[in-house]
Amino acid sequence: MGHGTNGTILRVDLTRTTTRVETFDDDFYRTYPGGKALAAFHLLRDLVPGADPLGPDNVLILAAGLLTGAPISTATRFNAIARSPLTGGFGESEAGGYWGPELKMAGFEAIIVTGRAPEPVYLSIRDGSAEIRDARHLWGQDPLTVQTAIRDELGDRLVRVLQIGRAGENGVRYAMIMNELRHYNGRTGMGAVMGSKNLRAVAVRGTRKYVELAHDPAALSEIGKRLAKQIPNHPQGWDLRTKGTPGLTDVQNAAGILPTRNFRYGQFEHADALGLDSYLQLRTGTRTCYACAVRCKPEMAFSDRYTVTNTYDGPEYEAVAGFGSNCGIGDLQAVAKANELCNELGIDCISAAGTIAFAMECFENGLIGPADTDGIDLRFGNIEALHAVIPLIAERRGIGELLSQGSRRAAEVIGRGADQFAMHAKGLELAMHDPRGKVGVGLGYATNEAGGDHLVGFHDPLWVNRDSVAFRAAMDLGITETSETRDLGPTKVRTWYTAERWNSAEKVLGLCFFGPAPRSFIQVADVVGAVRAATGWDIGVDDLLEIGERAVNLARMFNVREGIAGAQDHLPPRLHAPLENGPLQGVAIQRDEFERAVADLYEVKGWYPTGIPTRERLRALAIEWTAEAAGAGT
Amino acid sequence: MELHLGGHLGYYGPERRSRVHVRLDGRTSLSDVLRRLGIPEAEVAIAAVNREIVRLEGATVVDADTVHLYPPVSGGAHPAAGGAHPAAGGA
Repeated sequence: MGHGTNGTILRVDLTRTTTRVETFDDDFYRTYPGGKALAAFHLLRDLVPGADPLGPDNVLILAAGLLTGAPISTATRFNAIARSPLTGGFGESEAGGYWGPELKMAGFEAIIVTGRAPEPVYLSIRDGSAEIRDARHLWGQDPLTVQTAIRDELGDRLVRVLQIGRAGENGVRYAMIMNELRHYNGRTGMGAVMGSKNLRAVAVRGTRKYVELAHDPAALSEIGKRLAKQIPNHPQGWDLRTKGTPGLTDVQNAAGILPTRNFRYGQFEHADALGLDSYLQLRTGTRTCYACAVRCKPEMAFSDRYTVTNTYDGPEYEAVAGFGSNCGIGDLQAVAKANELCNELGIDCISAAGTIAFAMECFENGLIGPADTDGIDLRFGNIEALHAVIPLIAERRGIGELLSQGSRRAAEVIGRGADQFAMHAKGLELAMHDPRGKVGVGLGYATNEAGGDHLVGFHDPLWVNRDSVAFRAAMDLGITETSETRDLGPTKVRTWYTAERWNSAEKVLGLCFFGPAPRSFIQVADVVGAVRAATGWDIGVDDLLEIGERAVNLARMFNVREGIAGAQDHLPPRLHAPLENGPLQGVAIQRDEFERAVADLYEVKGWYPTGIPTRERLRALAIEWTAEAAGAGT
Repeated sequence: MELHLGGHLGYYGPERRSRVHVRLDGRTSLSDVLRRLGIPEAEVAIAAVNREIVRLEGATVVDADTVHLYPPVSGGAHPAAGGAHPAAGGA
């Protein structure tokens, strides 16, 4: 009888060309059960403080969650974690698909990659064994060619291939990692870390089944089957399956928080051209992740004004808003083309779109000009310019060299006040959610260890009406008080604290953001039930919240060690200035109110006013050792 | 009246449709329309009549109107619930 884990980690030293298998015991597993917690532990323990994110000393960890691969919809996620070349701090990004489950079925909870191979290589893992293979012939090739070649070489069409693209090979600081061409660890530049190690791909094949690892396979399967039936009969599950994330464009625009022209505006005059009706005219189908009955991944292929194939994932909401309204472009075909370029080249859509929107505003304000862009007229709304710049970023040529560094570094180089246009937190470009209309998202942007990520808590509209489906589900987390979307008072702070812990627990368990309540259809009791069935642990929701909180504090202690704790917990200045159109015209986040909320959040978390966890809090979370590891005054 | 049901509100629409034509005789309370269709008000975060955001409470519509409703998924303003208008909320 298992308890949800293989208990093994694969350690790969690319400098020495060695691999070895490590095991961990039950006590360790109870404390660091997988995903973000497991990876953050190893990052803190194994990484040399101050190591160059793009040097051989950085440690890249690919970690499955406790439930990754379980026969439960949305239990597909795995984490890519390293020191971020974009932020210099805790880098993390999750992806779904098939690779994470396959890793678990191949007998490993995680892969820890250190060093740097002298020549390009790829890693092949099969049922508990690993081999480092020559990839010189794959370097520089497009992802489809690489995936096909690896499957041919290994003689197995069922091998799951995780890889980087040209951007990762070239060290673009926001390069992503993809698996099966359609699923992306997009954020914080994990693809650049992988590329800096000359590691083009990790191919995995496993023949175990998750239920073989589970304490109570029958109970786990029962939960999985019941949830799969429930999806079309639950409003939030139905929504994801029917519309997916592109359904957000219309609501964001109506609410006046659709980022437009680099977050100056909250409504876009061509929003209808980007909205769901337009989207569904181009969507050719949907796909799914391992064992997930939601089936939300969009497929898009057309040949009209532009040609887009269905080789990669179609644009999600983030790409629609990022390359659309935020770059002033009201043409969904053009957006889909930009999305495809990023996917093929291995670039994070969100940071690419944010950095290009920043450059467009710099261009329009004369901070950069045609001489800097090789004549590209890099203005808002210029589709040709958008499509021209993305490959330059991937190749780090011309203006692409500057923009490949991300908006924060580019602003430092440009100077003359360009930083006022750089919409980032800790160097990570903001996602396409304007916190001037939902301020809790701003708390997340500012205080999250990875920077401007929108998937680190749940968004404010969920907390407004206690009779709503979402709020009623959230009550199982202990959230009982409502708060308005723009409220930054103590209730919102406490709610955010709970939401963040629950979200973090999802990243430890390997569940998708679009699975559990309150965002979606899997009720809190079913998450607890699945963990119990998998592990046999007598565990409750408070235990899962503590697991989530521990992972947050591990990440925080990493940032403490790297010297970027509380001092960088703030928003870009523009968010403290008024929106310039729409129903929220004139609305800004008041700086003093926001800073007070951040201070309140530190207190609720048991942190010093400096944003550093107290030793007491670390002790309570069983990670007091991190105080010594960080060398901090805790 | 043309009714557009954003996000998961379409789940509550007749036959799970997100576009619904409702025939109205004279000016009618929007809340009454929702009750008639079985759309729970608690799930409506934003209501807009002819592109103008309105409070659900007290809103009325006529047959020629186009109404957009959005749920509390990811949107920001929340005037439909009867709270303070977002632009007046201490900005």
